[in-house]
Amino acid sequence: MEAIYIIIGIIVVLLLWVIITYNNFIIMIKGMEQSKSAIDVYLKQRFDLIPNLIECVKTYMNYEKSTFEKITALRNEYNNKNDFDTANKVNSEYNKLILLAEQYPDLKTDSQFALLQKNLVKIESQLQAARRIYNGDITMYNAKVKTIPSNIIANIFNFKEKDLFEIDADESKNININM
Amino acid sequence: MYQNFEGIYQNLIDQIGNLAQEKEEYRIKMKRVYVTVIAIVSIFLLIGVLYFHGIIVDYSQLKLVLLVTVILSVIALIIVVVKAVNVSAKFNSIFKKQVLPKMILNIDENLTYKPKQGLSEKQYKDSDIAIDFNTFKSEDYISGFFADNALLEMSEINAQFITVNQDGVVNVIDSFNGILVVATLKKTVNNKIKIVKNSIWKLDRKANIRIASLEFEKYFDVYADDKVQAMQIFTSDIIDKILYFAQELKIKVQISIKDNKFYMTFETGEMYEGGITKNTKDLLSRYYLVTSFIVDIVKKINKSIDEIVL
Repeated sequence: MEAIYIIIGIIVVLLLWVIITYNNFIIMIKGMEQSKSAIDVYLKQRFDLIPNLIECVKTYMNYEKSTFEKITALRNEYNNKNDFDTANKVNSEYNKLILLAEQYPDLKTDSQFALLQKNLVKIESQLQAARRIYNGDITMYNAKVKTIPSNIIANIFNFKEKDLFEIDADESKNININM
Repeated sequence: MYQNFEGIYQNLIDQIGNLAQEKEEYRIKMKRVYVTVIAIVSIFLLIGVLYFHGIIVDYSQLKLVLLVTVILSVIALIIVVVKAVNVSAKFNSIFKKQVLPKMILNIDENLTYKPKQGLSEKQYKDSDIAIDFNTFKSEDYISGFFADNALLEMSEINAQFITVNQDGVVNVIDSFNGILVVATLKKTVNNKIKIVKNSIWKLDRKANIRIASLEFEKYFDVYADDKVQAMQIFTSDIIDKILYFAQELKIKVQISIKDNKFYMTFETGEMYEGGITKNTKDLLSRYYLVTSFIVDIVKKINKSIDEIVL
């Protein structure tokens, strides 16, 4: 009789552990989704500056028409797909555009462009902060997926490792913004 | 005026010379204490030998000899110990009046040191990272302005929780012994941020932030009302510095920000004391590391807050 109680006890403990670990994974995934949506908000805010930026620079950079078209197309693609790969592509073109714009001294003195740059700095800082939070959530989640014993639950319920979100650091670092 | 420790130590060489004289005097005084103790023990042994060999035959005679010896021994001990304590107090006074103020001024020229002042109990309570206490002591106050309204204040505090049970037995628990830092920031932050000791039980799961450093998470839990803003303020550079402190110096650090106040507590134990029996260079090196770290972090936080558009 005692053996039955012991077995039932072990099964109950195991079941509780499975439920708690599973719930922890779900809470982590929810947290990651929230962090991702914060990134989406800042990416959207950043990319929403594109039409204003193009409007502002096109009088100085007429022959860069193809760049404007490319970045606009990429922005539309991002608005449809809402994924990090496209976001990285838009970001890369965006940074190139700003680097190009900075080569025009007249543009640098334009008050509209200065205001855009100021907004850009603010959003960039928020975006980097949101990225760190998201990557923090992902790092913690991936550690759970990989380590014993939570990896057993991850395998059973098919919780897969997730990629960190990286924005091309070199290019974003190169943006020289004077406030 | 930021210098490395060796540079600062060389600047203090005259003052440290004065400390060396006191240390030498203390060594001599302590030698006298030991000699006195040995002499007293020897006299008592001699009395015992004389008594057992029948040289002192009368018991009342023995009592008189013992009484006189005890009185003389106590007087001799009091004299030598008081002299040694006086030298130790003089050493500490030189340390606090000459060495520390100069070292602190060398860390940052805006800072001043007042050994007998301290932060208030209210400031400690306001930090939101205070641990329960019912007695509070504070000394070794350091303060200075870095900008028009950016004030840094810090002092050593000793907060205890004292209870008396029904039998009248007093139980004293050191709830906190270390450094409290209160910095008035240049700008007000509409956010409550806390970096506290890591715990399995999270204070507030919703406000808990993961910051992509498993190493940092081993030591700390981070909470904030506005997580993104908290990460803008606590840049990777600042996070790395805090982690270095916790890992390398084995000092527990807690941080909180609310409105325009930035609080930090460091569980350093006793700080800014001379310690005549300790190695002065090692002590100064520890005080330098802690103080310069605090100054550096407060400047970086102010800069960080300045950069984010609030």
